[in-house]
Amino acid sequence: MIKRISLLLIMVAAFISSTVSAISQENTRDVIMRAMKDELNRNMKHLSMENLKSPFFISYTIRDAQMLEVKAKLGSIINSEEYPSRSQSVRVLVGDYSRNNENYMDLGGMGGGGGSFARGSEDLPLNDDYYGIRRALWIATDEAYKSVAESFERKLSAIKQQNLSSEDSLDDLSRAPVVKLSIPGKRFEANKPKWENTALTISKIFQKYPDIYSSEVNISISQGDVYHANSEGTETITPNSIVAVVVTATTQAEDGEPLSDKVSFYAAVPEELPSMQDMDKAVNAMAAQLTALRKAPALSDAYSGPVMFEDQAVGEIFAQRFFSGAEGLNASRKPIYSDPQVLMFMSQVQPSGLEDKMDKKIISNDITIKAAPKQKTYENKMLIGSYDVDAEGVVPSDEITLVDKGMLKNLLNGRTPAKKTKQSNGHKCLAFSTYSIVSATGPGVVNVNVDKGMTSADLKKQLIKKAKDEGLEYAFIVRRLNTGGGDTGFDPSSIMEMAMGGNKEGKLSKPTYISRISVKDGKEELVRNAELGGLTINSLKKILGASKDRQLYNTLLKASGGDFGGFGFIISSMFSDGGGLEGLPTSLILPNAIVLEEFDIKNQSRLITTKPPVVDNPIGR
Amino acid sequence: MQINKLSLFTFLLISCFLGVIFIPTVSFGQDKLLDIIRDEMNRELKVLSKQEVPPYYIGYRVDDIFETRVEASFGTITNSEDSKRRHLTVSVRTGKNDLDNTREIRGDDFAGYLSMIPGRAFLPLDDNPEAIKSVLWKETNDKYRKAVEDLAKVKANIAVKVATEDSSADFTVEKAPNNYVEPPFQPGQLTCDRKKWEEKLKKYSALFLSEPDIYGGNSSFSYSADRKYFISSEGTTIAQNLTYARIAVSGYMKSDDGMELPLYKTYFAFTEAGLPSDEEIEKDVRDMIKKLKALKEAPVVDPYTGPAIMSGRASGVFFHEIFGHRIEGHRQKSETEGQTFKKKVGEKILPESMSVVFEPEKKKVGGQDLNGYYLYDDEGVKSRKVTIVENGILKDFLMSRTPFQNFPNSNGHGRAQAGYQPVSRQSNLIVETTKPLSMADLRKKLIDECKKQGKEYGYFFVDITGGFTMTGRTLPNSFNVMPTEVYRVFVDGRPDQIVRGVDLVGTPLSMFSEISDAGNEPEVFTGTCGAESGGVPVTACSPALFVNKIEMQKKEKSQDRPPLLSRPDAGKDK
Repeated sequence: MIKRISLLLIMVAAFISSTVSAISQENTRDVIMRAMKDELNRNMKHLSMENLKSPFFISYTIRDAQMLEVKAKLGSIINSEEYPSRSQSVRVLVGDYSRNNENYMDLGGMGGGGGSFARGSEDLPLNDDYYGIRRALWIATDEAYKSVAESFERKLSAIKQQNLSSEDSLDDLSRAPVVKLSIPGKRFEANKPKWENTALTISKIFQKYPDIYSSEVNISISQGDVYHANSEGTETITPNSIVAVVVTATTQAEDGEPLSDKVSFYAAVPEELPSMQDMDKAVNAMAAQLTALRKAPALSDAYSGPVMFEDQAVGEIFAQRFFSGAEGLNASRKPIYSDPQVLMFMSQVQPSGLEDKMDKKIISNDITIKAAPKQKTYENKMLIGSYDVDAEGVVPSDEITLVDKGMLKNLLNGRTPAKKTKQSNGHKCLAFSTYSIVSATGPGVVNVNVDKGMTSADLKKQLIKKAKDEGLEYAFIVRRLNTGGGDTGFDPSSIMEMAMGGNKEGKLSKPTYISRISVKDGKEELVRNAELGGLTINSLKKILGASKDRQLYNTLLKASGGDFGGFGFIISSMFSDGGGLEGLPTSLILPNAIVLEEFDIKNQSRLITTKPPVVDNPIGR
Repeated sequence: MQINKLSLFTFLLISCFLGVIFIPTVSFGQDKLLDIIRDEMNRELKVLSKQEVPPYYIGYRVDDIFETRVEASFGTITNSEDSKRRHLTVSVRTGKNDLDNTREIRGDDFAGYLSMIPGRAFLPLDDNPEAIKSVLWKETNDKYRKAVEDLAKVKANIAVKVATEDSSADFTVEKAPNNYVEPPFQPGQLTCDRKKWEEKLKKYSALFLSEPDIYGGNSSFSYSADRKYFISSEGTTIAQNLTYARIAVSGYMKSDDGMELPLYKTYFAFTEAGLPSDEEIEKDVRDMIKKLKALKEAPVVDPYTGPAIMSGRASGVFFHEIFGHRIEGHRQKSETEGQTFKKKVGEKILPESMSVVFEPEKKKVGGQDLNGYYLYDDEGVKSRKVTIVENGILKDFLMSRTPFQNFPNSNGHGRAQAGYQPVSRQSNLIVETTKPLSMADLRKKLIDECKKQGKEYGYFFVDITGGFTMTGRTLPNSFNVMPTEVYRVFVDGRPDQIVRGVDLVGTPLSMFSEISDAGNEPEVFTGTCGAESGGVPVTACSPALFVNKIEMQKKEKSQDRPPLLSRPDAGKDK
């Protein structure tokens, strides 16, 4: 055991911080951009070390935001804080477009991952201090350059020992047009007392539900601008805001099964949130359903047959299967590994993409998937996933057809060339993240269209008919999948599963609400203790149909793999206090329901089940 | 083995337990939180005491902390915020005082590490009984479940392992419960003029702009007002207020060989008003800049062994590391700890002129507020002065409520950061001497000793950043003190020469035997000590020491060059 005594200043948990808007926004924007450009130009001109290459590309990103976080429980505030936050990220490339320090993995500092981590040891100033901003960028650039210049040399030497595949020989950075863009942003008033009141009102709902063990309301607001500049001349300033109201609740069934649910409301601006009445209704419904779930029968056998996904569950299966990390419709690039030992530490990091299935049928002919990141609204609702320029300063096209009538046509990509998508289509997206700037390949806004849409009633009939034909007594309807985070409590067995590499192919998160529907009388019965079978992209080859009605699913994508990392996610959720905003803002517009012909559901095998509490809940008794 | 003790403990246990059930809900009027916690505790006990494995002790700690932080760098503000949180830490014990769920499970290091992960439970900020009880209920349940499971593990572990060297109990039996409730903070104590501090910090850190080679120039201010609540099933009720105001300034330079040259200066007082004036701090920053420039050009020291003087601050840290951590009571019980001093009670370990005491209830030394001050520890035990070494003889240990052989009671040193379970920790360490020597005398001793050992110079350690030590059995039982300001003192009377690149290292017993004399001016080192129960505020107060032989090793050095381009505001590399 090591004990330390240290000066007080070392014990500081650093908060990256920022601006108070006394100075007009115009001015702030000018100062930040000028400081970025001047420091960028100085470094491009002068940065060098003997016997090592100088940078050929540098880019800076600064996020300047005002943050508000309110947490409440049962009508009381747990914490309520408003603070400015500024963070930066620096990307320095040595070499050239065809071969540089990125797309390379070795154990010497995990070099060249793509500038996703803020390296800066100097915090950005809170005010518009031109030299203060430059000092922060100066130190960050210096550190990044020293690290990448060395890692580039290691990469060149590793390459000499290897037979490179055609993928390894792709360029390391694609060229992109120079973009100059400054989009004005509206700053809305944060009004802390008002948000505290909202949190208190919603959290009070749970006072009426004594069977819920723990509940929490987290309101997080981040509003501000993102600045990006690169040495090619691109300069962009774009507004970047989100309002999130996340309500979580946990309980246990009598047999100990941990049960939790989460209702999230995301909006780009406060006015876009549902009305207080609507939120109240949704949270009450959640609390009532979670209470009912405690008494629901536990699934005890396995099922294979038609399954209907409805509501949030449709959004989640597309989010989890098509847009998580480097899976599905995100292009991925295999890095060059220095030697086989590295692979021991990097297994699972790069799941195979769909690159080799280009122009082939991958899912049902009825399904067409298009990315439309610039789409601003859907049925007059603002889309949180919408953006005008991506995290690398690339303007995406209005619409990219990813899957056309079941046929794979394109993949989402940033400026790192992949096998079939050698150019960026503007999909390196900026995530919301508490302490640093994180970006990852992601969709922004996606439209999933299914031909031959049916009414919900017809769809249910199809489901029952199919089950009957197969001689089944019932079919299943999945309405909500667990999305983790917040005060959803820990299902220790799910952690173990992840730790043991449970991220197996097609794995979906645990269903929160799943019902059995009888083929005899169409009666529905809520069940628990269910685990969904694997849903691979192949599973969507045979669908019985989808609903005509469509829904908007706004979410912050928690990508597994990629920049987020599975283990890192476990750690961060263990230490997170449920607040904060993490993930890629994404808007999926898709059918309300979809029925798969064949899908597996079985009873969940938990490794550990804790008993329910000995003492009664003090609430409502 | 433990049978003869058992009867006594059982008796005491029963009396405690009766106390538990009948604790009346006395209203403290001014602090509703205490009533709410007691209500919920009694409700829990009523049900849990009927379980097959009942708890014999439940303790609730609430750290209600208001905190302000401001940070600046080179004249610009980089952080400025207030926060208010109520941290809850629950402790549940099952079994009996002489054997309970907290006993070390030998051979299970992993469980040991897991138990060091702090809890993260927060109570509502207002005194809403329902919301508070809901959190207390959930945390109590989790802790109770764990305690029942751990007790079974402890019993199995005892069955399969050899007898422990120390067969003492797991939890002390203290005489009477304590009751001490201070009135809540005045509103004025729960606010801070951040704007004022932003302006001050800007001024302090802007001074670093004058020297282009300084690549980091920071200042920070923090103020926290902690109201610490403690309620236990034994009937103890504590609510005490502690405030801390701190300023720190730091400057960073790099020598051409890549060595980081940081200098720090911190200021501590209980209140903002007690902190030094702008003039004083600005003067210190200017001095710091001069020293940084001198350090950049200073020669790098080779490993050395020989005589040295340590300033009072350096000596304080030195005592904290080599001695303080080794007289923490719970380490005398753990089978993985080195237990350097366990069997040395009554033996001479220091010169006869020297004594070492811990005084948590002491507020000031020579006008300096003491960071390690508190009236009750985090187990609800009254703090008190503990004389560890008297006239060179080892007398006592720092005790939490974890007893060990021949030391059956706490002396008020069970401490923890919010969220952590307490263990025995240091408070205000004070080194005393009956034969104080002037600095001139100490220097003369140093020079004489150098001559005797045939050395051209000795060393003078003026300032340090901190240190660390290993107290376990696996790794060598060494310590490391990290100096920032070290001088060569020449035998021939040349002026002192500043040097860089060394750490002070050694093992405790051999080092202790070399301590020869002490100075006449005590100095205070204010710090935060980190160990298994988190970071706790401490001080180390000592006069300068003359040591016949110290050992210095090369400091771990950054391999990175200084920044390649000049600081942007320095006007070069346009």
